[in-house]
Amino acid sequence: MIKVTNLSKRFVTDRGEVKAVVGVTFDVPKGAFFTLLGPSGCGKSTTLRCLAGLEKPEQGEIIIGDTVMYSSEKGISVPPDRRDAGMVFQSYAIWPHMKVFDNVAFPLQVKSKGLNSAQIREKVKKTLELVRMEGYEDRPATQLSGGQQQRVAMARALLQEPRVLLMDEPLSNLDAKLREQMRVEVRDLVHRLGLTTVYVTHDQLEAFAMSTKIAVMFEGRIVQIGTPWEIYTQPANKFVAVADFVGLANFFEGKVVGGVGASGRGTIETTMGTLECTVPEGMSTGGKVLISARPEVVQVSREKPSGGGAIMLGEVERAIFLGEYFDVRIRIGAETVRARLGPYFEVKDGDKLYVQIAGSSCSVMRSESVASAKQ
Amino acid sequence: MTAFASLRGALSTREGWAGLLSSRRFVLVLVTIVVGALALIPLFFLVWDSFKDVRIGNIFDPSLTNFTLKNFRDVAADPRAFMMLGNSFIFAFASMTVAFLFGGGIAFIVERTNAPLRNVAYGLMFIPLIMPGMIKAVAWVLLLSPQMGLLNKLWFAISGSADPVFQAYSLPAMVWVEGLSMSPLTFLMLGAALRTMDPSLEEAAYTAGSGRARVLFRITLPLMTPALAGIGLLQFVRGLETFEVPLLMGMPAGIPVFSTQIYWIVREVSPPEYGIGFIYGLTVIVLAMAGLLLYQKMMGRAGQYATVTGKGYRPRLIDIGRWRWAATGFILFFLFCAVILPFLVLLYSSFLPFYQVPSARAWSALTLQNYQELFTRPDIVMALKNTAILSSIVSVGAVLMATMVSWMVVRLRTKASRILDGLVFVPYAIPGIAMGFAFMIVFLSFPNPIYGTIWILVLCYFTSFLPTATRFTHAGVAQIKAELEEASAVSGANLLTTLRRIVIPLMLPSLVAGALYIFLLTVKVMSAAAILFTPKTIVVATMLFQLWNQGSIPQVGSLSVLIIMAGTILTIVSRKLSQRRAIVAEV
Repeated sequence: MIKVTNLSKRFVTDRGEVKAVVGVTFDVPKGAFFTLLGPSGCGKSTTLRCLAGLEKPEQGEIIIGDTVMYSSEKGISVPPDRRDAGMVFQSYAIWPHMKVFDNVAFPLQVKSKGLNSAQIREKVKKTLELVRMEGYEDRPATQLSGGQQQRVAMARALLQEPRVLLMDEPLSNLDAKLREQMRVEVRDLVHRLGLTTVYVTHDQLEAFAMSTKIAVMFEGRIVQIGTPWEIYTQPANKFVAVADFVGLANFFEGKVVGGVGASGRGTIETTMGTLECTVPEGMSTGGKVLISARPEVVQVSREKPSGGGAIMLGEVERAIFLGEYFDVRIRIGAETVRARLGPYFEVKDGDKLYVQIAGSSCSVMRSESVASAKQ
Repeated sequence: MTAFASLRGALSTREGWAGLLSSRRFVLVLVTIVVGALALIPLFFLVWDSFKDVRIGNIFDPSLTNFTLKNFRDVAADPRAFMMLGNSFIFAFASMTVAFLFGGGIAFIVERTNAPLRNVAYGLMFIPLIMPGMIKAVAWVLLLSPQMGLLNKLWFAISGSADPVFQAYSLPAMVWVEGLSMSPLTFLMLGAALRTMDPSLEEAAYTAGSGRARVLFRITLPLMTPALAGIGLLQFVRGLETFEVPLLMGMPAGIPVFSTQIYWIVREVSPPEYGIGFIYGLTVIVLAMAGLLLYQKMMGRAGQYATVTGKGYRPRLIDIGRWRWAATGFILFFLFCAVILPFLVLLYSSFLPFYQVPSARAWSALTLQNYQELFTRPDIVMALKNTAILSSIVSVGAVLMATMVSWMVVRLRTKASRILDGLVFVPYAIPGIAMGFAFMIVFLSFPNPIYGTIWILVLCYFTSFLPTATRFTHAGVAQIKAELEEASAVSGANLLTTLRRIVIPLMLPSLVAGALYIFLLTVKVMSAAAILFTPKTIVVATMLFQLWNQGSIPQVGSLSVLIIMAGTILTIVSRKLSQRRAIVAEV
């Protein structure tokens, strides 16, 4: 439905040129919920605005449906009002001088689609029902709460029955509770309507909960595209796996020492012991790798456990009780491993604990892909 | 891409001309061309003709030969030129000083002392701005004229002497009236500068053990220096440009300044000495431009010093003890001189069958006839009608154009929009009298149906006030979040629809306030009209001058009272709508 090829966009600011988007390429199939995920300034919003036609890229091609919306090669640039894309803005962009009705009906009012005012009224009513705002037609826009504005903005974007729906951090201005509720609501609504959606967020939980596919962006580039599960369990590089962004992770350097067979599994020697893991394609004996293990897969026990994997004895450096779990840092030689222990484990600083990491719950990255992510 | 390519591109789409008009780049180019033409063509003619031997019958010489320095030599050989230059500088500097005395004094009292009633000063200081310069000059001549001036009459009655103490037709009297006239804006600007000063800078000095006087001279004044210098410079430039007061009070006494000298040699002398006019016009434009550039630079420095812009940081008020009431008295004295006294004189004269000093006989002869004449005398009716047409078109047109300009400057932020931003401010530095003269020369240079009609006045005032209009619209556009417009675009609205349905409705309060302000300005400012008017295109400002010259003082009175009343209503509405002190557009 949406095909973006080699998209690039620069900005000229007072401090010089900023490469906001660099060679971004992705496909969104019809009906998919595609999320651009990344920290602020990574180019995700700019990419979305290029799709909407609000920014003009320098290079690349954007195809929506069968229409070329932008192509640097062919010199095509369709203005935003003729792209047939609905958009929900971060600030909602509800026009304060209009009532709810006029805000929602605006797309039909400015583009005559052969509808009379009664038909428009009917459509607005139905759309407001979709977002559970029925009966608010005559309310002035200035008298809406943040959540209501968000729903009206959705209704306005949906009313024109757009080919694609573009959303720029639409939930980031809501309070935490409402945000959680709207996450489900928006996803279900979009799914029910079968809309192709491109969604921008910096919130990984939001991205995981809503998307069929996620593109992780960093410094203007897409560093990984995959399903939420793939992104979490098989991060392509240290950036995707890195703390504060897509969950927390422990990292160890390692070296493939043998056994890479048809199964793709190999033996890797690390500072934490020897692990049996799935090795990236094309990796052979002697290759350097980086292994990430999420804190929740690190097993901890007071007695030495039996079984395979890397087992090491360590000392608790710092245990922080967070209610749901203990966030524990365990020192093993020169390394520190973070683990999550259940609230009844009763761990304290200085405890001696055995740490076990199973190779099957680690992900392995090439060391060079780490370097390219500029970490 | 060039404008031409974008024109072709837009026309090839199926929307044709409508599509063309909604293409951002095309509108930007079109607006830039119009603004640039209005700003630069008159200037070009003025410069070009300065180097040509231009006279009636040979008003435009487009050939690339025949350049001459004759005009410059004529000016250099004319002893009047240096007298005029000297007068202009003394007049401008002295007026600025008087304005600083009143405006600066009142600003200090209002912002930094505990004088009673100081908080109502902001409301009251706007009143003198309503009165056109012509009316102020008339009123003060009626007060200060050697024989019939009321203040002199009062002196005769008190002292028994027959020698007048006041002389209306003199440089000091001109300075007094112009200084009073400039004071309110000086007050507003200095007040703003005082208000944005970080009070902790002073407090730090107090805690370091400095006394009040020391803080004032070591901290406050040095911090204010860039702002003081900048504002002083701006008022000095305004003093160089001003026309009405020198016309009424200086010309009869043979005290020419730039503006009146240009008016004299272009409109009063026969045959007109255009050549000298060009040089004077250019000189005053160059002085004004240099002054404004320097002003901007100084205000930039002042801006660096102003660290606090929010509310809630009120500097320490100085307890002036017994002098509190004297300070309030000073404000009242100013308002009495700037508003009450002139208004009372005009009001009095407006009820007289013919002008005379107050006496039992005068009081018994009071009549409403002069007010009737406002609606029956053909020339006054025509002047009112012309003014209504001129001011309506100029105010609405300038504000609409300024909206387009501001939208492009504030929103697009491209190289072209920065050029537009520069162009639109060029007329700001061209004094009214020079602008009028330049437009006159442009439209005398080729056959056209515009010269001698109201439309040349419309074009000239439109050009002059476009920069002022953008002060309102820049602020208006900046208030609108860009996403509100982008939401309109992705909803399928083109540029014109977005402007019509989103931008203009959201800006409406600033637009109406701006339009009313410019309406009033067009009524008030006489200079360009004095150069361009014909009997058919007389407007109220020129009508007042004509009535004054005919000695029809009671009619001057009634017309002035009408203008002041209408101006007061417009100002109140405009201020209610804008509600922001920040928009202080200087005349």
